[in-house]
Amino acid sequence: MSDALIKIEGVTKSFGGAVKAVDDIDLEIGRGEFFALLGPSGCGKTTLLRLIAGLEAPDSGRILIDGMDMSAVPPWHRPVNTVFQSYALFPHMTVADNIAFGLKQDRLPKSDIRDRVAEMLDLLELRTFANRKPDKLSGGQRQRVALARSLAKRPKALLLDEPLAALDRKLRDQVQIELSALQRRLGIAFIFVTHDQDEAMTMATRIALMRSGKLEQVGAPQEVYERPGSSYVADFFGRANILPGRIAGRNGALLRVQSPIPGLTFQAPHSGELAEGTGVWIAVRPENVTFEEHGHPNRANGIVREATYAGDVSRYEIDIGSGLVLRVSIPNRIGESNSRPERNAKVCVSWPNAAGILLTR
Amino acid sequence: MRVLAKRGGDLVDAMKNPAGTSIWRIGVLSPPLLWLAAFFVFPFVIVFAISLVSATDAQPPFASPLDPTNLTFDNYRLLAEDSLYVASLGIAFRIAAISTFICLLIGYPMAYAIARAAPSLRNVLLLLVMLPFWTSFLIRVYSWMILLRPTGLINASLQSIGLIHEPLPLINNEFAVYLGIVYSYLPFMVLPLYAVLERMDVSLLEAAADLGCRPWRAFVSVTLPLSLPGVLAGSLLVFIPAVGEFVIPDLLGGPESPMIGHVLWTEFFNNRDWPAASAVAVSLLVVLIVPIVIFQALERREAAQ
Repeated sequence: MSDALIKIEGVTKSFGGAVKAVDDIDLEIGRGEFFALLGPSGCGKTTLLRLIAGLEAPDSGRILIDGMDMSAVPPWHRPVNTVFQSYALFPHMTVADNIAFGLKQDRLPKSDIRDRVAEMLDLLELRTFANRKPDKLSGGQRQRVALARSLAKRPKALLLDEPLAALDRKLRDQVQIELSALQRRLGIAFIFVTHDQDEAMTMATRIALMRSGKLEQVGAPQEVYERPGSSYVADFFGRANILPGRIAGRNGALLRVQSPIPGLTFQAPHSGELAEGTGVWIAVRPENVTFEEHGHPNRANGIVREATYAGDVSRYEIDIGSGLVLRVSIPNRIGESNSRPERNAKVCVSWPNAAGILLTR
Repeated sequence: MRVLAKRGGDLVDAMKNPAGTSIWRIGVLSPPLLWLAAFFVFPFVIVFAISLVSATDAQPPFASPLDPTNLTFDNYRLLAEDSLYVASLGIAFRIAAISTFICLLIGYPMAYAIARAAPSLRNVLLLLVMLPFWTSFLIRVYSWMILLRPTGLINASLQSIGLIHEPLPLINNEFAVYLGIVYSYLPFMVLPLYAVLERMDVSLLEAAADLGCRPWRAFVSVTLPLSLPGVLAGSLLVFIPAVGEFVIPDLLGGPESPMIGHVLWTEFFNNRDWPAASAVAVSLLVVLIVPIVIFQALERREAAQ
């Protein structure tokens, strides 16, 4: 990426001990991106965010912001600002004073500070709360104050640590939409940390999935969902059936895979060369599997173990033998629910070749 | 103080709203109330009554306050007219204020360091702060006498290494009083300061740094204002007992600056003028309590806003 705003080059960070919180990460984040650092707790995503903010110093490697090496730049001189998970609003200051805080540090003229604070109060619809202290605000209002306080400094990138974690469920959907709209309107890069893949998928233009301090995969939401690079990624985003097997040969653009069940082979598109007998996995999304009679080339017979109705979809677990269970989800449309299999029914499941994702790890 | 104020508020609420008070609540609240009544209110009423009569040579050495014809404000008039009392009160306030300030200067960095120390280390450091309490206060002040006197450990060792030829005047002066008060009351400053600093969210300082604040400015604009309740609580805990301090000025101080506590002692034991001593005690209490009550009222009003 030639237009990278933030370049992370071989950055490693450990907090004493052998475990590396961030392990030799290379990453570029562009201007105007809404970028998600995603992963389970302890994967190093928050540490990476704090490294960008300058709140932690890397053991090795370096971070460039807008082409400038940040190695010797303390947090108070970095052109990025952070919205903390707890919001970290100053409890002894009013909303307006909180927003003005960063501007006063920059010693802007008083009139400029007043204008900028007014602008932020309007942008985040906080005008009526300007003279309140943070403890008199709701969670959602506090978050808007934290956003206003950081954005008032006109940072080149806004860093958000679990921005939705402290909000109740109902508010979360609304804030997701508001954050996306705000980011598009301002056009600056938003980099946010989350453990929730739905949140990352909904808001981000690009996602970096982290695992044990390393980047597992970086890509647009559709890319990481439809073309996961590993069984970990396939499993992390949504649901996936991950079937083990061994390469049995090539069939044009497809590779044939022998499953642990004798006589049962699947095929999936793959361009790379893999030797016969190599252990691989085939990942299939439950929504791509059907019960149709004259279905697709990849098929297996099994018994329905579980059948649950979940409103928009019905979910099934099909035992296809050798301990393999295939999850199937079928959308519920009016007039189509009659032909659904019951528990313990014998069924044939199938999916098209294109739905199979061949994974080597 | 905030906590104390809040407790007081709860107490008032409990009294105002008897429908909501359970038997448990009364059970929990009554011991401290009874304790206050028995060991503060009742003795204070006696002292106040004695302060309103004149001294006699009888046993007890004052006229009966139960006889209304004996009641007089003469003792209080004496306090106002004799410059000794006002002067010694002024000296006591000055010494207590300066000692409190020195305690704050030493205690704040100590409390800050303990609050920012590794959690496993914090309890050890706190224990070290409180360790002197394991020895009697009186013994510790006597120990200072042994250290400070002209033939004491400090002067003797300085002389033996040839640094000084005459003993330094370390005792029986105001310096020794300051030393004694600061030494004795420092833990009362450190503990409330530690309590507020330890509770403070460190992400506030990170936010300040993130918003362009250098560490020392973050201290001035975030840490310091947020620790003011602790500064206030610690200062009151040092200042109030220091004003009435008797033992330290008596053992370490000199004759040139009598503190009010010392005057009270002299009045009571040397002059056997119980009514005058009682008037001093009552006046001292009023002088110390009125500002606290005003302060608490202000604080409550601010909290209500």
